[in-house]
Amino acid sequence: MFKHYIKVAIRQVKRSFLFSSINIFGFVLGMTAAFLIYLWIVDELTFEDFNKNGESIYRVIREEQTSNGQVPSTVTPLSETFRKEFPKVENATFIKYGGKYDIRTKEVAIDVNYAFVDTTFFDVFTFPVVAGDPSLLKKDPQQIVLSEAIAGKLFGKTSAIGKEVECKNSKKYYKVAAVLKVPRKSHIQFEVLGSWDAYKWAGIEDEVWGFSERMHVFIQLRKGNALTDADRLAMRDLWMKHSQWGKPLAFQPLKDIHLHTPFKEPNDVFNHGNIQQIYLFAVLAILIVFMGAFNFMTLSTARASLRSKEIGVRKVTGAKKKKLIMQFLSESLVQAFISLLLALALTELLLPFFNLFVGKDITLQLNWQTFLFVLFGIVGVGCLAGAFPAFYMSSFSPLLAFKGGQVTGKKGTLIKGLVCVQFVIAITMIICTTVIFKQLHYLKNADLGLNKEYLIEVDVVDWRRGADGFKQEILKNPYVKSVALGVEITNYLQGYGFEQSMFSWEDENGKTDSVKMVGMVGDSDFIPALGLTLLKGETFGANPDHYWDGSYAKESPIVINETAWKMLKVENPVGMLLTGGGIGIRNSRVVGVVKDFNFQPLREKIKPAFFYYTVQLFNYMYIRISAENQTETLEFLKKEYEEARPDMLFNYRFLTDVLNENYAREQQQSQMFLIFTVLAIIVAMMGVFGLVALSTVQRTKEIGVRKVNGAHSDRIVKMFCREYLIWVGVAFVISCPLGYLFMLKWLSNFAYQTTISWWLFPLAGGIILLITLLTVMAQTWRAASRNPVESLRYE
Amino acid sequence: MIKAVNLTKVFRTESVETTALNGINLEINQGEFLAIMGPSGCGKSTLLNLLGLLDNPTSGELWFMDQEVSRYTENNRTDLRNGNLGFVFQSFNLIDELTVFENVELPLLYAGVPAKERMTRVNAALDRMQIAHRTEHYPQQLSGGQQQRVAIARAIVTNPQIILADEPTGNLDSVNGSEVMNLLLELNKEGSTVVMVTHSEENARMAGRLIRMMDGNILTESYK
Repeated sequence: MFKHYIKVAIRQVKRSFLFSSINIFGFVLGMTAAFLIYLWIVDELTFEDFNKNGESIYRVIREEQTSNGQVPSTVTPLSETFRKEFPKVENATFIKYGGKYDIRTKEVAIDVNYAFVDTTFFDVFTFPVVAGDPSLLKKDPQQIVLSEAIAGKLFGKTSAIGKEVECKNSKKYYKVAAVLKVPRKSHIQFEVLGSWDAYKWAGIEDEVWGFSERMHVFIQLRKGNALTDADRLAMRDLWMKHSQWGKPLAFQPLKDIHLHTPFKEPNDVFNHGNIQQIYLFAVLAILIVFMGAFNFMTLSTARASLRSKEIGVRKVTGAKKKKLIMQFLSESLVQAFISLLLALALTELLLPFFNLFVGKDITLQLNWQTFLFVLFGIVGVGCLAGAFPAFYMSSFSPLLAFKGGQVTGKKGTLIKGLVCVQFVIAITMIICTTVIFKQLHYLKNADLGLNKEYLIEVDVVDWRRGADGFKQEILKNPYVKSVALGVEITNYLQGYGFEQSMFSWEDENGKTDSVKMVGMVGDSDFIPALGLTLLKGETFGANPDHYWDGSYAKESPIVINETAWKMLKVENPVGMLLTGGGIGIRNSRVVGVVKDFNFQPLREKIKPAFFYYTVQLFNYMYIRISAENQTETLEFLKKEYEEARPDMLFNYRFLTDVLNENYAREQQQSQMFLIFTVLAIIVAMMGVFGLVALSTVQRTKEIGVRKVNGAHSDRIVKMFCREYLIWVGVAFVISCPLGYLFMLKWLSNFAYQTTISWWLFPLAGGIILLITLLTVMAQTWRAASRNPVESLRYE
Repeated sequence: MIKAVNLTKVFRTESVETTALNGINLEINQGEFLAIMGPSGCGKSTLLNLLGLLDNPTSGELWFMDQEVSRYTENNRTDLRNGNLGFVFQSFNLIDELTVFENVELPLLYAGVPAKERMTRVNAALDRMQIAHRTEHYPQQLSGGQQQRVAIARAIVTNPQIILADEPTGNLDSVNGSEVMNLLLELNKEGSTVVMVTHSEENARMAGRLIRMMDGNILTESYK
């Protein structure tokens, strides 16, 4: 019997080639889209899988919620304390991210991202070793570990192990202990890892319990142990016991870091994901599969009347309902099976492009996830699509064999209803895609309140007084417009960590009021160089001498932003003395107010902020160059810089590039959305095409009779168009609020949002209407312009 | 073998009620050749459908091989049909996607007959209908007469006791028509009961017993 089912199913595919092709094409597109999304989701869900101890590792984070979400960084001595005081903890370790460091061999000099780790780091994390032995770091702080890419850059194809590299910043030599692969699916990313002890010798900090910047502690529990509430409570107060800066602690499973990090800014979570995005695309995948399945359902059901003879004959010759259901289901399963094979091939073909879009390196592998998808693809999609037609057709009375089968009105409505659902999905997706693109455009082009054009940022770590001479020197070049020194503003723009300071003052009633402000460091040219607008007062006419003689530590001039001014609740804040200030400053006097500008990604509202003067933190130089002669100007700057600082590399980036990077996630999301929207539209329109093709066949007689009675071809085309017009209309009415609500929710992720303009809705509806009408007209015109005798004779 | 007592069939739509059969009383004995005649819409096909267990009557009794079947479900009726009834239609009703062999095999497949036995029985039936040389052909590749012979082969492959034929020659020319009639007569001679609806006086006269119908009633009944 089974053989008979398969045989018949395959012959059905051959016989009704057009409709089977539409079915299969819809399935293939749906399955391919779903498979790509599925692979992407599997990839997202398998972060940190390379860590052998992954299941028992937790990241130690702060429990507190700030306006900025949770803060992940803690302090290094926690690691040792956890190891010693908690027997359940098998091991503990930490990583401290440094900045860019200049390392070099005799031949090559490059800038690398440096991080420092505890001696136990490689006992906890098992990064794949390419060569050497990372555990050497334990015994000898003069050893370092390189990532595979950096080892390649420094040593080419020769082995790096045991070779020496020079770190220009610390003026020390280190030996390469090991070369490691840093998997993409790791939230820890590094180029060079050094020993924490080596970092300490650089003399940057002694107050270990108070220093938490970019410092992350991990614990690994003993096998079979779990964290109880009592453990958590005991661990929670550990930091507070040792330091006034201490915060209560929380513990985040390693595997949750990638997708479930609730920090608004993903501090030091590299390649971070977002569980919301997973849900969104999972829904999208299901929708597209559904649309393919709907095509099968509508076409099979609509074709049922053509098959009524067969059904009748089968029933008369002894087929029971169950057997017919099996037969029809096997037809959809066979089509699903064929589709799946094609979909797998197409997926393999599209993966490289897909990887480019989503920035991954997914490959198609024969593993249980693929098997699961194949199984679901055939059985799930086959049954989903085939169940309704199978039950519907098998319930025909055998008498239909004699009568030729009738199309009942109810079924017609159901089919149109399904087409309508497809229209709803397609229109809603178009609305969403256009809003997403509009928001992206808005983000990229919004007026941030600062002049971002042709502004480059140059890394000038630790230059102090020497920078002034260089500034004057390059300003002589007419293509150099302005130069300033300050803090790494790109860091702020990308939403990474920043320091906030508390200010307090007495209000007019003598009560103490306070406000937290984001601190930014800059010299006297910083504000004009960034193109900020001064509203009141002046920029600090900074005097380096006052800085060096310590008078700024007692009372430092600051410039605040508009938001901060509002918080101060005074008419004119210029001249106001506030308690508090930047790092190491006791009091600050407001000397000016600048117009608000977005120094954080547009997901965030503008926070109160202040500028102050601290030469020691002038790590970056901002140079605005002319639009003309850019290459020459950059060459000139490089030459001058390397002359002035022979020990440093000239590293620069354009502010506009940094800002574009900022919205990479939205960009990626919008591109993926666009692809899947186009797919959805194609699938939906194929369904419409099939249905119209079918109804012109089924209504040949009607068309003939109408023509005999005086209808022109165009009236008949209009008649068909009108039917679909109504359903597009119904779909449009349903999609508008749906799309609006989805996008309202999505936009709420951003503090600054584009408007959901009214014209988006008619645009989306119009696109679908146009494509539908074209499809209907192309199909019906042929049938309608035929000689009426032909249609009647045919019937 | 089949007995209809006061058999009534009423078709209802929302606004119209049509009485297709109006209290028919009829008994068909084993080995009979019964022809039913009458104008279009007189209810002869409806009667054949009821006798063939394709539909349930609105009221009345229908006895089929000593069972009262008028309230049987579709599944019960399928069980009863299988192996007991063979159908021949005016428009042949072969399945286009199946070969001649597969079309004839269909009832055996649904009856769960093993493959080997199916092979033997299908070939025997096709031999008998003199169409064995066409086993691998599809219905569209055959002439009308050949298609009807395949349909008869399908009707008899289960060795049914009763063969129901609804205008079996209606779509055939006179040569093929009389060939089909001869086949039916032959089957009747071998012991099968045949019930045939026809428009043709000539074919009707070949039957052992003829009933004429009008407006859902039996008008006359005559024997050869």
